[in-house]
Order: sequence, then structure tokens, then C-alpha cells
Amino acid sequence: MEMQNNFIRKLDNSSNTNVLDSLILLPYTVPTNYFNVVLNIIVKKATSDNSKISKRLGLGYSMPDEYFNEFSKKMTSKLYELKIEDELSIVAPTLSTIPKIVHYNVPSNYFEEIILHSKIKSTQKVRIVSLKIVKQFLAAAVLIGVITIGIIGLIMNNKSISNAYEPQEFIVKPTINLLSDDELTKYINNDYWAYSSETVILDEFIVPDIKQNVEVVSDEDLDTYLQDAATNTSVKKGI
Amino acid sequence: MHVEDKELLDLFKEESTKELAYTAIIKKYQEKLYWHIRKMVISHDDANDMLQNVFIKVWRGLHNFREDSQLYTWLYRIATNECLTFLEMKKKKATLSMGDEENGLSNLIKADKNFDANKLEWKLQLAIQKLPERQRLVFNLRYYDEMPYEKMSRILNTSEGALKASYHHAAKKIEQYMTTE
Repeated sequence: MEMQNNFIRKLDNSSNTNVLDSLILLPYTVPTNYFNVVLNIIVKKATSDNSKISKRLGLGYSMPDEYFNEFSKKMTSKLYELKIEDELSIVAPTLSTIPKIVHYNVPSNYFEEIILHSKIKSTQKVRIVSLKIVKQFLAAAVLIGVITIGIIGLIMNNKSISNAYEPQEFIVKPTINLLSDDELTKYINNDYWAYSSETVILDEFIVPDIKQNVEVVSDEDLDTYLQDAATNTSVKKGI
Repeated sequence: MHVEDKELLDLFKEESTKELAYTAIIKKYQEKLYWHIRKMVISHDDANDMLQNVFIKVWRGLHNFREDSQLYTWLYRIATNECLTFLEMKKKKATLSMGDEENGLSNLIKADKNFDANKLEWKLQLAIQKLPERQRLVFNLRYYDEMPYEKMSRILNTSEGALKASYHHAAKKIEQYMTTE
């Protein structure tokens, strides 16, 4: 109020006109206590710089830039952010009744050992290969091996079968070199080789007779008999 | 940044304490990351492979970490990318072999030693596998890990609004599956 009066007095002194008189003549109304309220608002706005406030108050503390601007936003969002349980009970009430337990099986001592494995692998700069991939490669390698062995086996089998139909080589014994050419020629020309393949069929009745007859027959008769037999054979062969 | 993580990062930068810091990081985050991965890929063998991949990448890349986000966020981001890459590859293989990726994961769940078809928790797991990968991720992070949307947004590089919508949609789908199956 005092400030207001001082202000009016200054206005009054600065001009020749009587301000008070002119103010009384204006028909406008002003809310009660307006000038005291507006004074506080103006002072606050004018001194909105934080450092100035702290200096005025004699405090030396610093604070982050835009602190008070962000503060109001944070408070608002905190008010609107629901607790997780409350959120779930609104969105999916059934889920909020289920216990939040995950029962997946974990090997014993897993978390104690992983530190060691991670350290070793980190320092060795080894690329981790999944066990699954290794197993798949192994399975593929085994399959390829089996197929390869099967194919090789088939090829080998075919060779042995085809070999069976190939004419076998007749190996002439080296002892044949001991015979002269004349002897060989005589042998071939007389068809002696032909007789070797012949099966001599002996009449079972002749054999005992031969034995008996040989005992009674003389040597001269025997020789004659053999010569006759040779002659008969030559006739049969057409020689 | 969390004070302890900051200390670990400083120790990692020193050659004499690098391995010590690395071991401490693994010890601190291995279970959280393992379960994050395991809930996505189901198989322990696959989760094990990926977890080790994650920590190898941590060893190689931690010196380049800019510390503009939490270490936890950075680790989760690596693990998430590993999961999504793995599932993408699996999907392609399933397409080539005329297989069904969704059934594959469901079969893995049913093959677990502890599987019990009568228990609601297992039915929930089967329902979660029906979701698309990203939606499954969002659901797992919110439902099981109770992660705030703000944190999730930094990990998945998606807006909070989109994440909320995705989670709500996923929860409704799962509830529908649970009540009809």
C-alpha cells in the first residue's frame, strides 16, 4: 500500500495534472488487494533465475540446469504411473492372481562355473560354437561316411563279379620247356592231348576178365594184343 | 550411475585390476541376465551360449562404454540384442525347414524336467511364447523384472507410451489364452 502511494505521488510530481483527480474520474473497478498480489507475481517473475535467488538468499549451492522445469514433469508422471500390481489388476486381473515363479531347470553349480568359462573364453578370444551346431555337423559327417563306404563297397563288388566272367589265364608250367619241339609236335599231331580228356570207361565185367586173362596169356600174345589195339584206334581216328 | 558400478568400471580400466573387475561384474549380473535370456529362448543350452556371448562382448567393449547410461542398462541392451538376433535366425531356419518356431519353443517348455501341465505358472509360460518376440520381451521385463517403463525405454530404445501399449496388449492376449485353453 505504501509503495502504491509512493508510485502515485511520483506520477503526481512528474506531471502538472492532478493524477488522483483523474483516477477518481475513471469508471473502472479493480479487485480488492490486487496491487499487493500483482506486486508479488512481478517480483517472482523478475527474479526467476535460480542463481539470483540463491545469491539473494545468501546460499552458494548449485543445481542442474532446467531442474525446476523438469521437476514438475517428473512429479506429474510419477502421480500418473501406476504400481505394477495395480496396473496388472486393471489390464489383466486373472494374471495378477498367478504367482510370478519361473520353474525352469538349471544345472547345479551352473552360476559358479560360468565365471570361469567366461573368463577363459574372453581371454582366449575363442568364438563360441553352439553344441547343437557341432552335433549337427557330426551327424552329417557320419552320414556322408556311411554313404561313401557303401558306394565303395558296391564298386568293389561289381569288380569282383565282372572279374568272375573274365577268361582265366592258363599258366603253362615251366617244365614244358624241357620237351623238344619234335616231341611236342608229335604229341599234338597224334592227338595224345585229346585222349587225356577222355574218360576211359571200363566195363566192370572186363576188368576181372583182364586180370584172369593176363595171368594165362603169354608175353608174346600180350604184345600182339597191344599192337592190334593201337592199330584199331588209328583206324577209328582216321589217321 | 550406481557407485559400485562406477568403481567396477574404474577398476576395469586399470590393467592390473581388469580381470578382478570383470569377475565382479559377471558375479553381479549373471543371474539377472541369464533369466532375462532364458525366458526368451527357453533352452538352457541356448541361454548358456548367449550369456557367454554377452560377457565376451562386455570384455571386448567395456573400455568403450561411454557411461552416459547405467551399466545395467548397457548389459541388458546387449543381452536383448543377442536374444532377438538368435530368435530371428531360428525363425529363418524354421521357415526353410517348413517347421514352426512357436511350436518349437512350446515343445522346449514341455520338455523341461520340471514341467507340470497342471500348474498355472507353466500354462503362463506357454501363453507367453505365443507372443511376438518384442512383445514377449516387454511383457517379461515388466511382469517378471518389474522394470519401470522409463528404464525399459532406454534399453529397448522405444517410447514409454509404445511400451505401455505393448504390455497391456500382451497381458490381455495372455489372459485370453489362459481362460480359453
